[in-house]
Amino acid sequence: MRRYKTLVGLVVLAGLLILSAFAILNIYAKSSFEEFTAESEAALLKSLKLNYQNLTAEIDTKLNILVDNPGSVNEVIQSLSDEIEYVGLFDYSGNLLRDFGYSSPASLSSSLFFENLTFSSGYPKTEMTLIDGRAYIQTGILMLDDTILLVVLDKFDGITDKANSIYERMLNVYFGNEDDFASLNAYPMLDYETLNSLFTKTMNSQKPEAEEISVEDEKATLNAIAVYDSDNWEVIGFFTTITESSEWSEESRSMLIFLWISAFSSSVFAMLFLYLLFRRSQSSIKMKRSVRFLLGFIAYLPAIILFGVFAFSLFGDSLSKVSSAVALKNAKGWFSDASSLLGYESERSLKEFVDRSKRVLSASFIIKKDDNIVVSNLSEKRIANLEIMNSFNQNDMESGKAKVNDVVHTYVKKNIDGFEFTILFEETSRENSILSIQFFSIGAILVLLVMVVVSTFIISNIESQTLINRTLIGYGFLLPALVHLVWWAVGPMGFALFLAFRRWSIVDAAKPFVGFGNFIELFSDLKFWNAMKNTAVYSIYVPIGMFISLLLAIAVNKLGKLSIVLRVLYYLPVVTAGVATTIVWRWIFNRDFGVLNFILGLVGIKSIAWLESPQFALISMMIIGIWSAIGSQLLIFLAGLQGIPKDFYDAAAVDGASKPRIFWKITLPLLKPTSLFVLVTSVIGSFQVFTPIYVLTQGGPLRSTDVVFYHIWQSAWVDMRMGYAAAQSWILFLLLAALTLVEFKLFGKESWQAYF
Amino acid sequence: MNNRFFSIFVKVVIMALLILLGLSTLLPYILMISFSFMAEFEMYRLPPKLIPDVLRWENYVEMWQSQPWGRYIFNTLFITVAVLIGQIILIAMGGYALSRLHFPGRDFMFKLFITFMLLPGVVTLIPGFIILHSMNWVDTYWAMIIPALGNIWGMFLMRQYMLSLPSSIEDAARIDGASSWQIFWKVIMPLCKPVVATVGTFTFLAQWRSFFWPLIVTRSKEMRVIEVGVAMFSSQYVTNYPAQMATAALSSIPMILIYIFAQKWIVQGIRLTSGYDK
Repeated sequence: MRRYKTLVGLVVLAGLLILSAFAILNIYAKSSFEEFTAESEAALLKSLKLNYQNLTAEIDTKLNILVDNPGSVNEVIQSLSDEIEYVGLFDYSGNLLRDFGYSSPASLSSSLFFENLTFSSGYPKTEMTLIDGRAYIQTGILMLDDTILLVVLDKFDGITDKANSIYERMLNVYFGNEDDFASLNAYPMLDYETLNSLFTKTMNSQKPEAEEISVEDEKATLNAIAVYDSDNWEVIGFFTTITESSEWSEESRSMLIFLWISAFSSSVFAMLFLYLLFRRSQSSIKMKRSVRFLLGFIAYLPAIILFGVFAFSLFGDSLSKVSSAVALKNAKGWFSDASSLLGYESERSLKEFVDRSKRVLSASFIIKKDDNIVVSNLSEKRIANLEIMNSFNQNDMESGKAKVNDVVHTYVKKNIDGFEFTILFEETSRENSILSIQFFSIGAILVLLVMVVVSTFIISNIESQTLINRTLIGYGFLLPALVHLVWWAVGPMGFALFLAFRRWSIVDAAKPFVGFGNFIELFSDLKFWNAMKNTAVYSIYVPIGMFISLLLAIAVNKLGKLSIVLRVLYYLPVVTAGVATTIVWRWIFNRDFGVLNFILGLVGIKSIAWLESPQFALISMMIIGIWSAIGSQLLIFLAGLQGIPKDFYDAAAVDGASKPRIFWKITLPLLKPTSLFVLVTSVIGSFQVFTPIYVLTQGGPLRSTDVVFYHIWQSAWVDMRMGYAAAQSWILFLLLAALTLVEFKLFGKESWQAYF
Repeated sequence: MNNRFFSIFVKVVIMALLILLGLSTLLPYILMISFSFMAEFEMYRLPPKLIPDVLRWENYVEMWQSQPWGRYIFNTLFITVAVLIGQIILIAMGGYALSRLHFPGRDFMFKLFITFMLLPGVVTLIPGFIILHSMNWVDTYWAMIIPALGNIWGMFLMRQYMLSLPSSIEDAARIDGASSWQIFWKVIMPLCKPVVATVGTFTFLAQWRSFFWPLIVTRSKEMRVIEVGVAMFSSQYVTNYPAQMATAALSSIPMILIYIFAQKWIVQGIRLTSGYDK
């Protein structure tokens, strides 16, 4: 009866564990997916804003001729004539001089714009405006003859059309600032508070922002971005789009359905299989341990595989669908601007075009003609090293994945009028979402593997309830320490290895895989090997200190009462040396007024520049090292000496052995375990010296005190190259591990078995 | 006669050397205190003088007013006490499991812990920081408390000590029907006071002077601990040596007092480490 209870407990636990793991993965994947689509929607909005800015720039260019030459007004009007709604030539105080045959619209709400122009520097200014409930593009210039040309163009529809045809979103424009705005065609009606808070947010952050709303009882997202006037100091309105929740639901639904089916099927499988395993182990007691383990593993195998499939393929594919669809839309929008740019202007303004695109979109751009780079925001070296991973043709465009400086990008390429336009979107946010899902799944898979062991153990020992209880209690007590060890030591060690193969910085979102790049760089990095050399030299203080402290221990051992006082004195620096004492050392090492040089001066030694000269700086660090370590080595040796049984000495004395002989034949060999302990811990400690170097020398002079720990700290937190620093720390770890092994071997097996 | 005189002479010389060495160990502390009361010009004198002409308390006042030292001390104390409590519970439970409970895999677990005791901290530094960063713990107390809770060496001491307790003490309690937790908490822990005191002293001192980890996981002044404060002060007031010494004294004196008060426990702990007291 009892054993059935245990079995039911185990089976239910296994089922629930798998279910909840999938449920958490579900929540996690869903929220990352939503975050990613929100980012994609924001990117679309940015593209729309760029289209608008390109349009105003185009009109600016057409008006530019008037800057030097007010006489060519007629030609300019001619070139714009297709879309002109109204033209007026005004004098400085606002009186109409000529109207070129166009009648003024009923409400020319351009007073602000007009004032603006009278203060302008004589260059064209173009922006969107709202007249009689319709959106127009308005442009104007203050010319050299103090007249002002004002033109209203019926051109804004081009932007709205692009939104519909290329991005497949409905663009809604709100004119005005965040407190007072009017909309063109306000569908759906949204309450003022929502809009106001959203507009304030996007103005403050200077990038697209989104807000959850409901449209006809359906959940939807409202995206907004602020649009500024041509001087960029006043908001003139907001572009908004609405994404209904159904927009990307196809991709996310298939993902979630997969997760739910997997959750139920794999947990049912695990439960059934565990029960079968129980039945089988009841009928054939003599089942091998490995077979039992294998069967237990099979119970969890479906769950493990499904986790892996989701994290390493399915989730990434879903995001890929979104990202390539969005990239294609953004690219089309950009190409259409590029071709209209080539229509009225040529290479001269391509640079401005790329600059503007870079400012609005976070992407990279390359424009080539006859295989020569015309303009790009990437350096020539980056372009030369651009590595195309896959590509396919789509209509007249080529798109695919490419690596720029190891970072994966989606690129889209198109030939327009003999120019080759390429736009590259960083895939970083997609890669990072996938990475975090993968980390979670690896964690979950490890938990399931632990469950394999637990289940097999319980099923095999189901007859002996006390053993199971004892085991549960034992691991229960060990659990906090074990979790801490896994979370802060075992896990981070594996994570460090993962980092060593990546370029990783907390200030850069892109964390590309670079293969052995870090290690290759490291082996030719003279600074790193210089730091290694300095560390090796520095660690020589360990044997020196051990020698001194062994002598001291022997001397102090026989002093009785006084020895306690001395021990307390010697040990003081071990537990109190830190930044505070290091500051004092700076004074002790002072060349002109320091105590050390003063004492040496008494013996007739000339002043030494302890901290300022490359020959002595490392020695100074070693002196501090000996000072702060000698007490601990001494006390451990003392304990070791006192642990040697008296009988040994008595026997030797009876045999008439001399004192030196007793020391060499009895004391030293019996101190072996102690010496090993001191050596191993001190060497590891000496490889991790940081405080005196940080406080006193910062690795100088001439990198003479740049030890490896300091070097790693600099790589990671000063140069912000954590991947490279992780590679360095792994190399250091391997060297230290090898060194420790050699130490163990040198001292022989009996020296360290005492500890296990 | 001559021989005996010689051996006494040698003993005296050795004793003198030992005492001299002991004093030179103290030298940085003596200099710290005496410089902290000096006027600046007094430090630039040859031969160096140890006793200030007048006690300049102004150095302390000046130092205290330039930085929120009260906050630094509070942070240090708070973190130290939190780590102390958490760590003792964590490692006492672990040590208890590894010494007095019998379950499959126990020896493997012990070896796993011991192996990681030798792991150089530098490997886990960067990933540890990234984990903290991704948990949004940078510049919080958590960042300084949670990673410091594990102390394998302390757990090792606990285990060794608990192994040395006779097994009969549990049996009586078990017959009375006490649970494992009750035995651990009511029977074993009270007997472990000496080793708790040892580990506690080491942890306290190590936390008080911890520098590197707080340096990398804190950014704001509000989260600074005292040793980071001393380092920042010394790089900010490079020339004001007496005030720097005053900050050093502020940080060191509590440690020295704790050390003198608890030195007995420290010496006991070291005896345990040497591997003979099993």
